[in-house]
Amino acid sequence: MKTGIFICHCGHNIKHTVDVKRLSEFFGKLPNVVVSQDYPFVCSEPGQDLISESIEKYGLDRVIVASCTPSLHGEMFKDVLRKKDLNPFLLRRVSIREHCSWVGDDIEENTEKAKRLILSGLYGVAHQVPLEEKMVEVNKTALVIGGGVSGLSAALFLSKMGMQVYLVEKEPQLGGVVREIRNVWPARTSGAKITGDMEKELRSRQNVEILTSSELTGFEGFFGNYEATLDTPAGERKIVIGGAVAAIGFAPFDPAIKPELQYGKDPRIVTTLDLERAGELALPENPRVAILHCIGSRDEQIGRPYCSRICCINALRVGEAIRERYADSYVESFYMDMRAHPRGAEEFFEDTQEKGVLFTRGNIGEIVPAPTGVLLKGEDTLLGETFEREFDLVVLSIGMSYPVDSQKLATLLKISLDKDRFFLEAHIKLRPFDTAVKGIFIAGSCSGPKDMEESINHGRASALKLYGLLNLGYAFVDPFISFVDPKRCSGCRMCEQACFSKAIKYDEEKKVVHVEEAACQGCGLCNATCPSSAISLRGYYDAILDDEISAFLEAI
Amino acid sequence: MDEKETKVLVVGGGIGGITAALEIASCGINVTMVEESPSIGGRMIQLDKTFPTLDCSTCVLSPKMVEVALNQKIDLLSWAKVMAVKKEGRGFNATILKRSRYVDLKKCTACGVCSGGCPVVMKNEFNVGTGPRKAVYIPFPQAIPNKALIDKREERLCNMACMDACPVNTNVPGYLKHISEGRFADAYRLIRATNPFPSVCGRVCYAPCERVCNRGEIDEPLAIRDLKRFAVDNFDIATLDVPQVQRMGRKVAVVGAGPAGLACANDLALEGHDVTVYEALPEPGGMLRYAIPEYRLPKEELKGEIDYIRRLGVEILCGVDVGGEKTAAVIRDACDALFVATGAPKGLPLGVEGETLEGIVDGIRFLRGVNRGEHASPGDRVAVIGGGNTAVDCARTAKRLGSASVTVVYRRTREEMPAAGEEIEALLHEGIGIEFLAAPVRFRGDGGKVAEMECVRMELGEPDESGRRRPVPKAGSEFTIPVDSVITALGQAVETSFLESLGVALGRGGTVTIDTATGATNIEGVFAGGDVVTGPAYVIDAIAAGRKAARSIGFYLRGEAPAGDEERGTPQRLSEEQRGVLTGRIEHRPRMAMPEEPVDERVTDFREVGLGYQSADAMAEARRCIAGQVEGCIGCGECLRRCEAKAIDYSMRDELVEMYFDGIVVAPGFDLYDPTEKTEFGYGRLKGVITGMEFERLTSVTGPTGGDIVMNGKTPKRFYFIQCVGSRDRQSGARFCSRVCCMYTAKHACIVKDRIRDARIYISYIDVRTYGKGYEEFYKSTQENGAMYIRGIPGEVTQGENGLLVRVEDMLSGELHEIEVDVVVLATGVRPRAGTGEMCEMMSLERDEYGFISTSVVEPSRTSVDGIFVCGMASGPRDVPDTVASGGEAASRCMEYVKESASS
Repeated sequence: MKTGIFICHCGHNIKHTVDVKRLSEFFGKLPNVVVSQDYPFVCSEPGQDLISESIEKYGLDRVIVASCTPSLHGEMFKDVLRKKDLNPFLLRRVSIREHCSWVGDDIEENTEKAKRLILSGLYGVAHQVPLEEKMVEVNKTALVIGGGVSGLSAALFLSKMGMQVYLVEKEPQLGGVVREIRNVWPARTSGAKITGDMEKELRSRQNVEILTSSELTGFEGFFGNYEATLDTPAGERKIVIGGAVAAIGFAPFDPAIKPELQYGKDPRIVTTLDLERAGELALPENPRVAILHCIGSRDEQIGRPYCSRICCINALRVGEAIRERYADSYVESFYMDMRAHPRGAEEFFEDTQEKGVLFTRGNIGEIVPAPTGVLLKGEDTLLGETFEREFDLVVLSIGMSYPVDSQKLATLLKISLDKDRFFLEAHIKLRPFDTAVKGIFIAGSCSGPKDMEESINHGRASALKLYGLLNLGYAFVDPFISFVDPKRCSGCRMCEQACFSKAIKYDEEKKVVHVEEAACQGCGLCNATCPSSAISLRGYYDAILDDEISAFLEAI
Repeated sequence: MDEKETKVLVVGGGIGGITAALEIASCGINVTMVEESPSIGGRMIQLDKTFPTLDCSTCVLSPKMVEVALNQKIDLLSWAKVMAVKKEGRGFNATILKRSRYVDLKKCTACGVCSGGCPVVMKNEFNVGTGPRKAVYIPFPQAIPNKALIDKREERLCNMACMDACPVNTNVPGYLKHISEGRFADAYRLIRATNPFPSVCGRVCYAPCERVCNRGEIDEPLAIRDLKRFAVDNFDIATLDVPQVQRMGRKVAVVGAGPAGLACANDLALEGHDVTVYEALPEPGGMLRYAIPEYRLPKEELKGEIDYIRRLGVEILCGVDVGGEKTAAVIRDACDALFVATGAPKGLPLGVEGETLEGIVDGIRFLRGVNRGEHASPGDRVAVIGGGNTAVDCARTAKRLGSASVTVVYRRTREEMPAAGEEIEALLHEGIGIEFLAAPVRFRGDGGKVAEMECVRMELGEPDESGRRRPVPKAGSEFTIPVDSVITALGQAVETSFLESLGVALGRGGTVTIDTATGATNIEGVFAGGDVVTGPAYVIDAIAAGRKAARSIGFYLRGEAPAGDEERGTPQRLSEEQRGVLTGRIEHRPRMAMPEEPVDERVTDFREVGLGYQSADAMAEARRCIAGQVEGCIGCGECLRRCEAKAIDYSMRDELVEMYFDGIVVAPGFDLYDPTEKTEFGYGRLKGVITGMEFERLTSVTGPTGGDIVMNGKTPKRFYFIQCVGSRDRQSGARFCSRVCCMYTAKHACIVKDRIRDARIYISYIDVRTYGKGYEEFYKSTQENGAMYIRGIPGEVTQGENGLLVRVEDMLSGELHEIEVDVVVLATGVRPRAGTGEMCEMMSLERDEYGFISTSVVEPSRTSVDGIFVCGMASGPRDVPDTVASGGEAASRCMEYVKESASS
């Protein structure tokens, strides 16, 4: 074995509190170490050259770089080995900066600790064998669940990028809720036109199969090779896909949950969505219309503590529409905070005020249907006065609730829900489309209320993520995967319980388990669980860890 | 699609651009990312935390930044700018300006040593001006690329001849810059980096720098030496840190504790070697201690500097006569290297009849006696023979010892006097006469003691080998001067017989022969420098010789070949062109004289003559330095000298490159509204009124206070946050809502509550717009934590007796409040990034009335130009998750576009 050890000064970072010279001299005398050098910046170009030249000159088969934390330049040093045709897994990084020189000031103690850390690495790397990153084939096929603007956007993009797409929609028609909006703000066109255009384009494409009135009923397999079971009008269907985008949208809030709203008891009390669906309104030419914000939003009592993001704009749309249709109307909007945040919305708010919609910051205490009109009782929080006013129409600007199927789908896809039963993203800031399952993405309002533009963004952005994973037709998997020694396996199946990626398969005949390599994430839970030490994780054998610990404790 | 050929340009390296670039690269497409600032990360990396999870912004974003740096598909051009874009076919030809960093990215290791030495302090953009940075700097610790750059804005105005003239290459412009801006301790440290005797050189250096100072060509040279003394006066050397260095385990012996020996010891100790200095006299310092009179160099000052060298671990053994019982060979055998710096301690004889009479003493011995405290009185009438600094020192010393009449006798004229001009001035000023063109020919005694000196008149003949005209005696011009004592100061000689046992080669007059590049003698491991090599010379030359030898000894001990002399240029005078520029730019201002003790008083004792500058005067004088008057890097070269990786390259130039791209994503991001014009809030006028971003930097661990909420040295307790500053406000030209301020204010309130438990927090708002996932809940908990939300924007912020007074009408209660607070934080809205307009014009992109890039509603990243897509704040306010989504969307449209191009 020919090991090369390169000890970095990191400028002053390491050199000032670790006697790097002494270390390089010490290790130079050890067996199996053919070169031991300290250098001001091993990460710099000349530093990397030093490693390359040594590999060539001494025929190194193991390399130790003792410097900063492995996560910093790990990939870079691996590349140095690759370029010299040395397997990158024969590199060992030892952190003598974060774990040593930055911790204490005592040169003697630090040097001793650094010595042990490197020694431990030396014993560890001796066990390492070349590992190959595993290439798995993936299906360039995608499943999009949900045919609203998010799903349509996702499907369109994936199809245009040349992928086979299955679009599954529960309803008989595509377009989701947007399709029902007569005048989408700020596009100023009908929702049906927007979704219709998308649908038309999608239907014109060869590589798209649209399955309406269909639902996902089963989901098995692993990244790149999932098998989905669909319940379609033509019967059950199984398809193989590389990954999926879930874009199942939201459920409009049902105001019947709050009986005090009197919704459903009086035809003069309607939701914003009812208004979209209704034909010509039966209203006098000088109608009195009240619009109530935050129905089913910002309401902890009914488990909807969040803001639904779209209802203030919907309220503005309704107010504007009525003022435009009925010149002599009286329109009053009751709000808590006017959330006109999207681009152009603040101006829309101002314009709507100018068009004559009155905005009253207030709470509605009571809604009393009366023969002459619906009586609203409440408090104007700006004036600090109570009021009672009668209206011919009360419009409830309803919020968004979690999609009805969220729990069902989450279970099938093995993804999580948040506290409000929307889908949970991997990271709220930077990975808003990712889930914990590789190849499964979420888009649009199913992860929380969003407006149309945001839903389109989500649909396309998540589809792009999926495309990025699948487009090559193959993917690399870390070589750190578990394998089973069938002679030792007792068939207790405890590992199967421990494995969250469902990579352990039990062979009923042989009564032993084996690891589905493509599914294994290399977490090591199975081998820690196995009572018979029958499972090992490549690159992290027990013997390696034992020797490293012993070396560190100077027990060797 | 031929993915190898396809290339996309992403303009802007904030979270929007980063997302787009990474997504496109993940599909195998090449991306060139152009970012105008030196690091990617945009605004998000400036944030302390992100709402609503209160994750550390750096921890969330920096892995993404590293991904950009490591992704082989992404070519990152930071500190670069797109200058022109021209559509060609479906793609674009772009001209990109790669601005020079003056730091080689391949060599720079981001160790930060360059910044440590840089004397130019500038506003830190990353901290929105709330803290300083250097002209050579790494933008922030997590910067990508994590490399330094030099903020160089204009060419230096002068040639810095001072540095080239100085034997130790003192960074004169650097320390003058420090002094001119009040950083006196930094000035001292910079001086000491190349000179272990600042207090000595600040007093007695012959200041070759001043002779060549380029300012001297305009009006008068800078008072460089006096300013050095000022820096010394304002620094207590007892507080100077002893750096911890790795011990090398090698022993070096130095013979002679003069400036050369001690400078060498100082440098070797800093390299980790064990140094022992042997000194024959009872105290270290050599000529500095025993030849320079107290009134020019107080002993305490010298002692301070020598004590520090001792603190570095140098052992100084005094009273050891090398060559006596302890031979040079014994010392040599006990060490790994030897440095000989015994100086030139012997006075030269006059060679005149009667020279051995009592009352005739050589100058060096005279001064040594006085400096040792032997208060011999030389008598009333004293003659000093010679024209050098020693002669002047002897004369002025004699005057202070009470001699009524002191006369200097010199054989040439004033022109030829080797003593420093200002020393001669001082001498005359103190009433000491000089008998020019005269030389003693014999002394006559009275009872063995000198009583008379017979001199002869001289006249100047042909120039001799030194270039000075040779004095020739005038026959018959003899005259007699009655004297009580005579001090001869005709020069000094070396004493090197003790080196014979080592076999060291000696030259003329017994001086040691060395390799001038390294200081090595003919014997391995034996080095020499200072007067013992050159014969009597200046202090600074001896220091330089000691340092040079130290460098060579370092190489020798490491077994490396000596690198030879450090490059030192020749002092350059101003060119005609420079003079032209300077005449227009530099106001004529004479040199500020350093005050001195009045003559009548100072000649009565040995008090120091020079009094030193007052701070204001020193700063004013230092400001005269031409080099320091440029903006940004002054080109002093401190970084160049310190960089071990040799990454600094002043010769770099900006570069224009042409590239073809198949598609473009622009993500130039945003700026924050400058609230200065909203005078009612007093921003920029009232202390304690800051912007949200300034508050962000204040709370960040990478900020100027390391994350402690401290203002003017105190922890504020009462906070007032004002929302919608520059948003929803026609007056400031922005009717739009900025979308992020409600949440970032709630976040700020949470941070305050977390760090300052008893803080009182008020938040003024119009509508609380907490619309995103988890935002409403965050707002609620902020309220529950005690932040008081007041509906209504304050009319005025004024200075009260115990803080700032905020006048606000609570629209819910209708009451008028006057609230006293310590800090007012303005939640400023967003604006398109400066330069967005210029970029859009160049790319023919349409913009809306506020300058945001116009887009389509159903295709949110589509701009008015096919093939150019926009994401992030550039097309309107967005928070981080929305920007990430829009980055993905823009990337997807761009992918679609380039795919179509490839298939058509």
